[in-house]
Amino acid sequence: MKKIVIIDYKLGNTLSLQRALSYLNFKSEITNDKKKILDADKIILPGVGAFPVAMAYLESFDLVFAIREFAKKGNDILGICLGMQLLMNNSDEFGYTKGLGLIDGNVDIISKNESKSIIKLPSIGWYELRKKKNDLIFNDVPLSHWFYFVHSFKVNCSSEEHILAKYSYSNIEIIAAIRDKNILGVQFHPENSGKEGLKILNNFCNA
Amino acid sequence: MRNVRLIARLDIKGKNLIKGIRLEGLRVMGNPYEFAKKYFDEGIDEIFYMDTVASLYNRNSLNDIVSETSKNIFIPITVGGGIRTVEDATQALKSGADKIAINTAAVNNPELVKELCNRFGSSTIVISIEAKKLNNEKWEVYTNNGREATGLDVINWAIECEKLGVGEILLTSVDQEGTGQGFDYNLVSQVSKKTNIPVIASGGMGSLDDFLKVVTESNCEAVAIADILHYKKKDIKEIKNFAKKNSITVRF
Repeated sequence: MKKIVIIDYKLGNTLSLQRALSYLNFKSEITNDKKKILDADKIILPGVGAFPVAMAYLESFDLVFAIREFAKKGNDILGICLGMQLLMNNSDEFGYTKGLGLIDGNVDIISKNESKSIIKLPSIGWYELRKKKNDLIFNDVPLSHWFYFVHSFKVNCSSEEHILAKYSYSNIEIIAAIRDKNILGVQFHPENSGKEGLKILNNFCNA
Repeated sequence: MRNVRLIARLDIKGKNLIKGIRLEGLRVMGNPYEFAKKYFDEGIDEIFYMDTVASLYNRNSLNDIVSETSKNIFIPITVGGGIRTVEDATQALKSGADKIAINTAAVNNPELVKELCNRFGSSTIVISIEAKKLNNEKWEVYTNNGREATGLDVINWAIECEKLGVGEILLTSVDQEGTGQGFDYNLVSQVSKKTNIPVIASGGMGSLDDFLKVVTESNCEAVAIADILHYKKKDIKEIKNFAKKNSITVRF
C-alpha cells in the first residue's frame, strides 16, 4: 500500500481531494507531521488559499525543509492550484514571497494588459487543455477533456521544457500543468474535474 | 473567450430539496443527493446547495447532505445558508464543500467577509445577493431568503463585496425566482458591468431563450438553474447543445 500524504495547511478543500482519492481506492492522510511527510511515497500539496499564508504555515511547521528533502529523494510531489504555485521560486500575491523553489519560475497575477478585452478574476470555469508534451498523468485522458480552474494568479516557467499543458482564458495563455522530473503541478483541480480529473489523480498515485 | 458554467441550484429545507416561487410557497421535491448525483452524471458543471431556513432558525443541517454528496460527486460544490462564523465555514469545508456562500451574515458583519477571504482565499468565498427591484435602475438587497429588506443598494453592495475580497457573486432576483418568466436581465447586466468578478445569474429561467439572453446580453459568467431541471422540463444535455449551437462555449 502506497503512503500518500496530503499536506495540511488548514485551508480549503483538502477533504474534497481525500474523498477523490478514496473513491479511487487510495488511502491518504491529511497531515502537517514532518516525519510522516518524509516517510511518504507521494505527497500532494492541495488547492486553495493565499500564497503568503500557505508559505507562512509551511514554515511555522518546518515543512519547507521537509518538502525539499522529500523532493531530493526523487519521490513524486503533486501541487494542485495554489499547491502548484508554491512549487515555484516566488510569488507576487500580496507582495513578494519566496516559494519552495522546486521548479524554476515565478507566480504573478493574470494580467489585464495582455488582453484587450475586459477580464474578470478569478478565472473560474471549465477549460480544454492544450497539451505541449506527453506525460504519464495524461494516460487514458482524452485530448479534448475539460478541467475545472479557479485562480487569479498564474505560474511562469523559466524553461519551456517544464510546460506540459496550457489553457486559454479571455485570450490569455495560461500554464495549466508542469513537470520537472519528480515534481509535478496542475493549475486545475483534478478532484473537481469529473471522472477524467480522477484519472489524473489515479495516474499520479499509480506511477 | 470565457466559458459559461451551468450550475444546478438545490434549495434545501431540513433534509429535502424544495422549490418555491419568489423564494416562498415551498414544495418538497425529494432527496437532494439523488438530484445532485443525476445532474453530475448528466454533465452539470457545479452544484450549489442553499439551506433556505438556516438563517431563520440559526442552524445548519446541510453538512450531512454535503458529506454524502462529496463522496461520489467530483465537481465543485458550493454551500450557502446559515454560514455565520469562520467555524461554520470550516465545518462546511470539512464536510466536503469546495466553496462557501454567505448573505445574511455578510450584511450583518462585512468584516466576516474579509476574514473568510483572507483565511480561505477569495476563490472559496461567494457572496449571495438576493435582489428585489425598486425601479428599472435600482434594486434592494434582501436577506433571510428574500424575507428581510436591508436598505442596501444592490450595485453598491456588490462593489463593496468585491473590495472585501469575494471571488464570485450569486445574484438572485427575488422577483423572478421560481416564476419561469425569465431573468431580471437589467439587474444581471448592471452588476456584471460594475464589478470585475464573475457573476452567476439566478432566478427565473423558464426557457432556453432565457439562458441565451442572460449569457449574451447580460454577460454573466455562469447560470444557476433550478425549476427547469427539478421538474425535468429540460435536461442538461439539451441546454448544453442549445448553448453550443448558439456559439456559447460550455463544457462537454
